[in-house]
Amino acid sequence: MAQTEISPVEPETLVPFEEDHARQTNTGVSNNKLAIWVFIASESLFFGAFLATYFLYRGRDAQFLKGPTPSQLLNIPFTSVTSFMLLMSSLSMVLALAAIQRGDHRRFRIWLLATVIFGMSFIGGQVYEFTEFYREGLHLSTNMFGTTFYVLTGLHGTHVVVGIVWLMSIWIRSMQGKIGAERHEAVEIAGLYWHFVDVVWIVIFTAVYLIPQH
Amino acid sequence: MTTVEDATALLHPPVKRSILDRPRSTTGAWSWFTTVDHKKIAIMYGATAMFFFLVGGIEALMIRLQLAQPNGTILSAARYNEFFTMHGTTMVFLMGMPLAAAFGNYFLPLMIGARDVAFPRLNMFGYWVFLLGGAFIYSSFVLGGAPDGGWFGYAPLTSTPMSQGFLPGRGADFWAVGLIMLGIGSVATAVNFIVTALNMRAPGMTMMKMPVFVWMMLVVAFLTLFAMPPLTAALIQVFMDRNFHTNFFNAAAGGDPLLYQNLFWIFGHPEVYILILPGMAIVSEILPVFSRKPLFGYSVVVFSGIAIGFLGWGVWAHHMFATGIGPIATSAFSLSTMLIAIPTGVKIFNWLATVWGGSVRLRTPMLFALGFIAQFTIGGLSGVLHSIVPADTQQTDTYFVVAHFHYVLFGGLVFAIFGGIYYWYPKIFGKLLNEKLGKLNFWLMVIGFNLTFFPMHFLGMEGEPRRTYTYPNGMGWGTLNLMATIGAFIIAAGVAVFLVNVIFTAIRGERAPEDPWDARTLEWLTSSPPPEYNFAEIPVVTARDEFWHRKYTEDDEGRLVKLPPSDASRIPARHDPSEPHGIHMPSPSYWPFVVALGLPIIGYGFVFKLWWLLAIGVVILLFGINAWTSEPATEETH
Amino acid sequence: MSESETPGTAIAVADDSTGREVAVANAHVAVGEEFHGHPTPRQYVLIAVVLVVVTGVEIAVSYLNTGHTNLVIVALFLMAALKFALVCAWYMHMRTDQPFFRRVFVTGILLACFVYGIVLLVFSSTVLKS
Repeated sequence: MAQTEISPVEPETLVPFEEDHARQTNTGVSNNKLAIWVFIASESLFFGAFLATYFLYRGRDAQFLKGPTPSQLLNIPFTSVTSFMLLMSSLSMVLALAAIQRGDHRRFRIWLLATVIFGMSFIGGQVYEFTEFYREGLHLSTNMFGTTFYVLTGLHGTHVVVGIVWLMSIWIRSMQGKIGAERHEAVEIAGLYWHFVDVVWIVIFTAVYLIPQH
Repeated sequence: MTTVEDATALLHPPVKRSILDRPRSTTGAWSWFTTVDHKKIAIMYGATAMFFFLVGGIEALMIRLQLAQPNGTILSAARYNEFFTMHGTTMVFLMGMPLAAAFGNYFLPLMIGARDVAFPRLNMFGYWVFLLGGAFIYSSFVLGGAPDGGWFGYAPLTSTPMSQGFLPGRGADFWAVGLIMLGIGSVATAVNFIVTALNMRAPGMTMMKMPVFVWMMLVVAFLTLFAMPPLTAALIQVFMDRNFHTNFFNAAAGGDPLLYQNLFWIFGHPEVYILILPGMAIVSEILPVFSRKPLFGYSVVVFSGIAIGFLGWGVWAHHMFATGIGPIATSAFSLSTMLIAIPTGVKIFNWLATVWGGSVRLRTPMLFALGFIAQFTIGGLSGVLHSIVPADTQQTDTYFVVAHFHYVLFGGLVFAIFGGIYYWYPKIFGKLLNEKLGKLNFWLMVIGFNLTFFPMHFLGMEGEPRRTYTYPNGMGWGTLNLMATIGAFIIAAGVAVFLVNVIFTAIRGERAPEDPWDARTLEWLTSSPPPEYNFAEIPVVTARDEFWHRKYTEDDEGRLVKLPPSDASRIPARHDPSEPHGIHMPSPSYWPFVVALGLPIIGYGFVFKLWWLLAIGVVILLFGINAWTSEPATEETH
Repeated sequence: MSESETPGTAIAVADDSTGREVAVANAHVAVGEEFHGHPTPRQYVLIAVVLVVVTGVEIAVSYLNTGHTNLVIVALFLMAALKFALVCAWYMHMRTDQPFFRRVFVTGILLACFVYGIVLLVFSSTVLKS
């Protein structure tokens, strides 16, 4: 949409729906923010299913003696580094939010880009890990670990990629001058999704990598 | 954009038009394609769902023809499997849930005094996903064979790879991918309803002043929100086992098919409450109007609905009593199942108490609502019988179960839906459906329904198994099966009468008065049909059954006294042409359709392993989402 | 997304007896306005340090070769839960935002723990014994 210097009102925020009740909701929280929290709650049930599946099938390969085992494959130091990246991405995300809330667009874009870069490093690490495991003989069909590990972490990784695309699109729009300080909520909502994805990884990292194998 | 209005151009900067100009019209045939108006969307949900009801009904008639006699030859075993699978899948996902979405869509905003839902474009997206998802699943009939593993799709029947599997063709792939797609639409609508009900109520409408219909739809939305993910997970696992040789349900490698059943029923049990609560919602609105009495025990009914919502998460393994999970598990689930009968029973008593002592008018909507109470109760009772583990061990997988769930879902939900259609038809279309035809419709359906499904209790007790394409001579099942088939065709006659009624009303029906039933809730406070913006002025709510309280008060002896008509109770003229100043309704848009279109394309990509097609679908999806999020909800048209 | 958006945090009191919130503050956020109640960047960094330290402890604990694997597992999960809670409370602003968010999210988490916990129980040898 055209952005003119003369206009006192940004077109994007002009007359939102329900103008006669402008921005007044029964609960006092915005519709968009309520929606993302509700959606995130739903996603807990989704990841929970795959985590439960992982736990259920954990250790079953021992009796079948098939394929490489977790202890042979998992590289804790390496994954610790990628996990650290994801944690740092949450920090940079919230700093990006703080920046746009203060109207500091330059810092906002820097922190946002940092988040994207941290996220991409995490994904890079995942890709490396997957290819390594594949090389060492772990396929989806090899054993229960192959099945549950790749699908659980793969779905998580897909969520991270979606988040990266989302954040990149915000970054691009910011460069185009479309993300003013009053659009900070859009950033907050993307941030909530991003933190959720990070939080899921906190659980996965502990459950898959750190819990001792029997 | 002309350059004449210089001053306005300063205040309202020119909108840069993209490739496709944003549609503006809210009238005419094309406007239905781009609408974001919850009322239009509701009508589309309803019409499409009724179409699928007919398709599912024809599938049922074929099943009944096949089973009318022993050793039937109408359908081969393979075809029979397709028909009963698609019948179940259609009725649950393409009829039941969408009709709830239809009623919820039309009336949730109106009943809370809102102008639309919180996310109008997301609303439309939900509809397109439903339509395209349904078409996707049905396209399987001509693309290698329809799903044939049952509507529940148990592993390992459905999860073994096609090349070495138990089921021929890609039916199971269409089923898994199609249901994932439909699930996305359902969750989108659930989020929409939750935010709308919580955030957009009229001034003065506290939660405990909301109509019971709204409460029940809110509970349904939360159930949907939390129940679809486990299903999606299970379906992904089935698809992966089939196509990528994973071992989720491969016992030879250490997998466990019972995991599928657990995940499916964690979805499946809340799903039956997702199906029935809207029916209960409709009935809770009809009974008070046609008894001229408020709903008995409003708070209790609301809390029972919430209780059912919570307890429904603790009963799922009662679908698995015969799978060898052991006495500890079965006892625990048996107890929880018995427990959930309590809030259900409470509601039934409240409905009865509503009618008792009321000034009852036995019009068609009321007949259907009363039919609901009777038949749903019977279905509930057979459900309680199922909760007893030793009894269920015999009943499971027999026609006794078929009788049970058809009593609650057809005798219950479908009857409530028909009641709702007759009740709200004048509001939606401005005309009353013919009362004589309506009563004929009702009686044919009652007789047909009970003739079809009551005998199935006995057939189940005598051991006739479900999901089996035929039965041999000499079992003694022939007579009752024939009765059931005759009953099915009487149901069909009833449905035909309904269709005749709709057509007759469209051609020669008389205009309905604005408040034909002397009703109680806010949707009747506006014209029939309502204008695009619903209410010229958002009503201020001071009581439950707000509309009723604007029409009536009570004298010292508690008798109803009609108030003189005032501005507060006046229903505005039907065709109020001028949009009151300051109301800006959300603008129409193409993008919900474009984004939705990406999904079946991705779906075909997955089913046929055409990765380039999948990529195209993803591109369309992202392109559409980008365009959608770049346009404002309401376009300035100055 | 711009649909139905409430630009700015409407700092308001939700008065449930009238069902309608009374908007106390305006919607537009002026540049430079402090966000009432939100943590400062310094606090965000502090939380990040805590997260890293706890992760470090977790990794160390996982390498411990004691005989008490159950204890180790419990400790690891507690630490994961702590990190989970910290990110939710501080980065997702659950601490300072309206309680509704916390309620709906916690409901989802608890429901997931409940149903999937029971699934694992149903498969456990203790329950399968007949």
